[in-house]
Amino acid sequence: MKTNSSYVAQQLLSAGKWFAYTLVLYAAYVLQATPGAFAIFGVKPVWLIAVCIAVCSQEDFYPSVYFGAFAGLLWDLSAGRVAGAFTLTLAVCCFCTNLLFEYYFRESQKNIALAAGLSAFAALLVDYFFAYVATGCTGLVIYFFRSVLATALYTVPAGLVCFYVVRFVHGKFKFER
Amino acid sequence: MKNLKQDGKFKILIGVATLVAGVLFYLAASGNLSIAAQELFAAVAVPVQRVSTNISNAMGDFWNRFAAIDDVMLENERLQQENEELMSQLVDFERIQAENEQYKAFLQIQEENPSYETVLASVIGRDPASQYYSFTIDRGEKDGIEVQDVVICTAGVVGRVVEVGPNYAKVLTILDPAVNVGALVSRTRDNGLLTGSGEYAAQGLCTLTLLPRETSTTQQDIIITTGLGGVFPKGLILGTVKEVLADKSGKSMYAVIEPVCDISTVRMVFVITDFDE
Repeated sequence: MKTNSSYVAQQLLSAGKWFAYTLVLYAAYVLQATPGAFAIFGVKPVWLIAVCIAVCSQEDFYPSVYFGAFAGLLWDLSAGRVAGAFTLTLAVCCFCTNLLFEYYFRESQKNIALAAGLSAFAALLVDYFFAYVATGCTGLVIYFFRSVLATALYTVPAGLVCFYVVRFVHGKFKFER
Repeated sequence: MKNLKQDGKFKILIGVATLVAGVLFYLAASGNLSIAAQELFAAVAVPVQRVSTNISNAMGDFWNRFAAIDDVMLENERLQQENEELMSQLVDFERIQAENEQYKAFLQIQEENPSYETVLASVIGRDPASQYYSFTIDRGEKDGIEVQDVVICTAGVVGRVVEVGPNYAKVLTILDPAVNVGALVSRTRDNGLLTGSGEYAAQGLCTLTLLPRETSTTQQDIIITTGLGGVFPKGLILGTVKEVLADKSGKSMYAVIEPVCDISTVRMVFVITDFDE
């Protein structure tokens, strides 16, 4: 009975934790899309990536990848991309991040902030190729520095903020045996 | 007992009393003090009185601060509450003022173009990865907005609707190469095609292509919509010419256009849901 009740409690805590993560993700989505919010010379951080990378560093493999895919879907809606573009990209980013933190890197705030920046760079670079280079746009250099590099750099401090938020949520819903 | 009559001091005393009585009877008879005496009196007494009064007032004020503290605190609370109410009213006033400006602009558009049916909308979403400053507005199907509806600001064209939901719509701006608008130069009547350009979009500019080689279009010329195609109403201002350059092919010219609205920062727009062609 005791084992059953502790299992149920663990499941409830886990459900509550992922619900809280979803709320944080929703807040990141709203913040990211709000015109002018945290914008410096028109450059804004990608809060969705910052949140899902922070979650990846704290959680297991499969939930992290699904969570990243969901964050990517929200980003597709926000950026007006074909649904699935950022979904796949962020799923892959979360896959790689989870493996790196599982086997190689320590879960420190600096590492997570850097991982958020690198993930943003990777995702935006892929988007840059498909949205600008492949469509034959001119002025590619300006877009690279503004839309890819500057945004990825600005996502690093956002990753730092999200690390503390996600760690707080993770700590609140931790199951104590 | 000493004989008072023989006491010198007693005699002096009587003399002084007599003098004072005499002065008193004189003053009573004449009705005023002598000027010299008054000034002498004031010269000696008033400075001391002044200091004494200041000290007394200071001590009185000091005491009153503590004695009347309850009244002061009550008045402070009342004034704070009044201040809060006034601040709240000021915020409301500024909000109403801003709304009033928007409605005035809305009315101006309606008056200038009575055939337009327009919906006022706010820009609520701009993603960091948004291409060519596309954005999301807070009006959708339930407000009568459809795909291809033209989006304008008070000054001119901003873009067109590409996706509509129940309560939102996504707008592609004229800086996007996917948006093509039949346009003409208002002064020279040269026809062209206004379209976005990857090269110029980062600076908030677009291009008017397919201008004839012999065009006399020059800087500051106004570009308006032709109305051809039925998507964009006729006569809407698109922008002004910044410079005219030769196309790479050499067969035509193109103009760099500065849109009338600052598309990267526009916050309120109008969606033309219907118009007479």
